[in-house]
Amino acid sequence: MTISAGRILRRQESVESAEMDGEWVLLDLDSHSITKVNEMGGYIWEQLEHHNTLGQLIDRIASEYDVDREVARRDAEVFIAELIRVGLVTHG
Amino acid sequence: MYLYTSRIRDHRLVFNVQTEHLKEWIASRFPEEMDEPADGSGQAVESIHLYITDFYGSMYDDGPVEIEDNGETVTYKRIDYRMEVSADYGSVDLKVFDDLALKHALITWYSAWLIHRRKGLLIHSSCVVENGKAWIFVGHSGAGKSTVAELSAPRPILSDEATLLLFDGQGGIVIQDSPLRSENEERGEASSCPLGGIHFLIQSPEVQRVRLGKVDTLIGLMDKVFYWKHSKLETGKMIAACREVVEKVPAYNLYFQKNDAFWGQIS
Repeated sequence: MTISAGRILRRQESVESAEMDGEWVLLDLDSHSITKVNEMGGYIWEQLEHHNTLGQLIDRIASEYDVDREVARRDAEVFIAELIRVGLVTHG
Repeated sequence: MYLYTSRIRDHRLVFNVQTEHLKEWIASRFPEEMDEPADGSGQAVESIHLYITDFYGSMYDDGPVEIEDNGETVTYKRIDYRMEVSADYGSVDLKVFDDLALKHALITWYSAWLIHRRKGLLIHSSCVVENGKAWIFVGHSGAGKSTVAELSAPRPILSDEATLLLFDGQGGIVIQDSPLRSENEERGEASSCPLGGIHFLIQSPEVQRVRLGKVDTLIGLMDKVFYWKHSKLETGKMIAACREVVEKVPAYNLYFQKNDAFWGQIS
């Protein structure tokens, strides 16, 4: 799946997230689905609250983790595509 | 009607039941309230009123529980019972077909009340006391929860089906002798014990235990809480209660054979 950099990404509202010992879990209270994600995934999920395009996310990841934009783009794309696939994020 | 009052730590269950059979079923499981200590050390007690009648519906047919929440009451319906609960879960009106219906309905209500009041959880598991700590054993159906309890004699068994976990209000977690048992129906000899940890059972020729991460523990534990979803708020509270347990006690995958050698890994 390709997601254009300017598209608005929306987090599913009924999801509760929890971080424990560097691992994250995203719990969808509507469907009762549970998604376990790594630290980077948790970081992206948190950033999505206020930075809701792929372009903005890539900027955030590149500066937070001190990686070049190409690496950040690959990480963000893979993760966002997975979140869309499991229904935790919609893009309009 | 028959009256029976039970007391479990800081709450009182006042049962009003239609038949002597119902009263005996409840009295053999729920500890009867004794007189308050005269020195005034009794804590604030919250009372729940349960009205239970017999001769409802027909035999359980593997059908689902249906839940309706109209804001004032929550109604749980299964072919063998109908239970209407007030919005604060403090008043229960239950009609049952038989003992199986009664047990399922009481587990359903009690778990919902514990979650609603942030008092604790009912967990589908067995629980055994060793060296002053309560150890929970969970696993899928047939994994050996009740076998573990049986193999653990003469250690006290606090539950074999529905473990009653309570937050003590001072940051501790205690396991209370469960009134809702499957095999070993009589009440146990120990009344409560601090929680030591949780074991997820995996049958294996090699006996060992492996520490589990907190996220995996949370996921595994949530799956074992008796909970019928009907409200996001209550689901959120259930998750918060599970998180509190996960933050406070260790959890392990326990690879075990059907003998008591696994206790060598625990203590």
